[in-house]
Amino acid sequence: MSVTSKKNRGILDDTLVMQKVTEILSGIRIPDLPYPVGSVEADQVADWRPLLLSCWNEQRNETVTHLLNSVSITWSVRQVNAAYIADRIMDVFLQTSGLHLVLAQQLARLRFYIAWRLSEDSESTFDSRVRDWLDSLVEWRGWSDTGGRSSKVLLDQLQGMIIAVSASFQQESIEPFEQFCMQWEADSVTRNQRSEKLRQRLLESECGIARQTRAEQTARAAVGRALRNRQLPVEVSRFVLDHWLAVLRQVVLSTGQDGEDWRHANKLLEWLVWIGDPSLSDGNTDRLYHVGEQIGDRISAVWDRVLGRAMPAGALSGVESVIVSRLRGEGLQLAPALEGRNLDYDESWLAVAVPSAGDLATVKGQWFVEGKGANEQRRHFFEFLDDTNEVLWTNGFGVKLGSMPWREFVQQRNSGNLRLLPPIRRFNDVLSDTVETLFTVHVKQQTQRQEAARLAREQADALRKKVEAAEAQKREEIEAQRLALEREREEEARRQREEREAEALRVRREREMEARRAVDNLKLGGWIALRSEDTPIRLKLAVKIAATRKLVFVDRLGLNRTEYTEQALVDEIVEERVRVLTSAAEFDDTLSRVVGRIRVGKS
Amino acid sequence: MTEVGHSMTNDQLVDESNTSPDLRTEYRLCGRASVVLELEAADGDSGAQARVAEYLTKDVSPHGIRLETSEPLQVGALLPTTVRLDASSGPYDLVTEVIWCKPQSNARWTVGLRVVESDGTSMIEWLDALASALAAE
Repeated sequence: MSVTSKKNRGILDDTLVMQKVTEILSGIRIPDLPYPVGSVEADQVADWRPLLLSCWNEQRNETVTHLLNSVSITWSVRQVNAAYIADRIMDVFLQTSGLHLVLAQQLARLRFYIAWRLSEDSESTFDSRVRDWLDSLVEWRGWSDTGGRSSKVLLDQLQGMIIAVSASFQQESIEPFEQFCMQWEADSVTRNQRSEKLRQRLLESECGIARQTRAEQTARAAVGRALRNRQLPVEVSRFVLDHWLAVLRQVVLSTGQDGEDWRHANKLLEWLVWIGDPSLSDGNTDRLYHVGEQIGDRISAVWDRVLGRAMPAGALSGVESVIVSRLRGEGLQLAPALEGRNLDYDESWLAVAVPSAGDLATVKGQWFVEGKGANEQRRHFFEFLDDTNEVLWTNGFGVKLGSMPWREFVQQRNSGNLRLLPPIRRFNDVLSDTVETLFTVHVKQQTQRQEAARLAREQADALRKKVEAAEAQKREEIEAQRLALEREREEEARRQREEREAEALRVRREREMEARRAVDNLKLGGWIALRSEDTPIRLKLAVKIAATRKLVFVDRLGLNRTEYTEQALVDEIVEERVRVLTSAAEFDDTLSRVVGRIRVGKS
Repeated sequence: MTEVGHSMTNDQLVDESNTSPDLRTEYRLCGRASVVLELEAADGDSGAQARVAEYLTKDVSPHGIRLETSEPLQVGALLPTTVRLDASSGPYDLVTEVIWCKPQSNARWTVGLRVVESDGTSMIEWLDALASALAAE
């Protein structure tokens, strides 16, 4: 097919179609098919060629997608889509191809091969040779499973297809199947040439037969109508049936029913009957004389003209003697005109209702089918035979299947017994329509998928942020709790410190009070001990000046004068730097014990 | 045997929301992923083991899963669910809620699950994995 004619037909460019197929294979998702959700590594993709080959060899009637669904294997997206596309294209093509169910089933199994090729190398799957071969199958629209020789020829050829495809699977090459397609095409050319000759020959012979039939039937109808229920002299009947019937036949054959010859011949037939039947011509002697005088010549003239030869001598003698007898008024022996003659005739031949050109145009050359399913019989309306008003049926290859009167054809159509095969769809059209449809879906799906992916990512990010925020909040709460606890502890510590300080203060005050009491009770001569590293220094109160609250202490010898204010001494006592000694004896024991402890501490 | 997709209109091929009773408006990615559902939890008191079942999905979306099961599931049940998309990722531990359960003609059921957001699940990883699957060619 030339590029120009392709463009004129509006067919998609091949490259563009296959590019779209490639995109569809990788991306489309059809509901309820066994796609993987995640990724499938290249080395994990199952090799389905042996499985498909097995299905092909067994010639299984199932779809590839059904096969994939029934096997627990992880298929790749490409494999699943290859299966779907193969199923869809083959199903649509075969449903609209008009092929017989048996053929369609056989060809449908090519889906296994197509699915394999699509997954392997989509570019070469619908090579022009394969597409042209598939398109060429429409010439078999008329094929019916009659069991006859011609129907078996095709089935045998399709066996070759099975072998070729099987070889392609085994050799992992498209070569064997393409070779088969090329051979088929070559055979088809030969077949078509042969068929054309057959068609020509059939047309010629059937038209000839139809003309003969028409002539015969029309002549019979004319004679039958004229002689029906007539009582005639046997000479007249014999002349009409033995001679004039042949003349009428030849008239129809030569010039039809519209010419002068037919009119004359029919008129002469009427005259012959009029002459012979007394019920028609009795009492009309003048006319009988007039007719009798001329009829002989007229009959001869027509005979000569139509048959191209002179009437045999004596052929009319019987009729002439009847005329003479009638003119003489003699009685004649009459008999039923058709007695003893098995003249089959149908008067409808005299006024055939021919279908209109418009009606014929809608059906001529079309394929019709009767019956259903595997019992369908197809027939091709090859030609309408005007002469017999019949439809000539063939098998599309020039082999006659039969003929059918037009009125019966109309009846069969009106009753639905005979149905027109729907218009065919070429494989190229199916392929391009299917690819366009799926590509549109694929593009839409891709847009939606990308949007869905974006939304999913957004949701993941939002959720991530939510979790992080929740964790951050939790951390903050924990930190806040920790800080609160710490504050509480600090508060507790502060409170305890304050308590301790208060206690210390109280103790100090108590001590101060005790110290003050001790100082107040300290009389002159009373002793105090000053803490030192070695032995405590004993001092006695030597002077007490109430006005200034000053106290002067000296040692035993009255020396080492040490002055304190009362408050200072109280502080010294509270700080335990000074101890007030009570009596002298207690003082000595106490002092000894203190000295002893200090010595022990030092050692 | 039911022909798949041939009689579907383009819109039906694109948008499955008319073909199942769930109300997902999210895009659904057709495909088979392995789903393990814990249908009954283990019972420490009686010593009963947990009962799990493994099925294959028909389609998945970020918050929904449609699958075919061999037994009916109770609508409203919250089930611990583990999903594996392929051999190299997951599994994803999720919590799902049974939204609807419809009997099929082949003595199986089609079930719609909603993926419930919960701490302690692989929800974020699940969303990331689905985003990658949706964006992949």
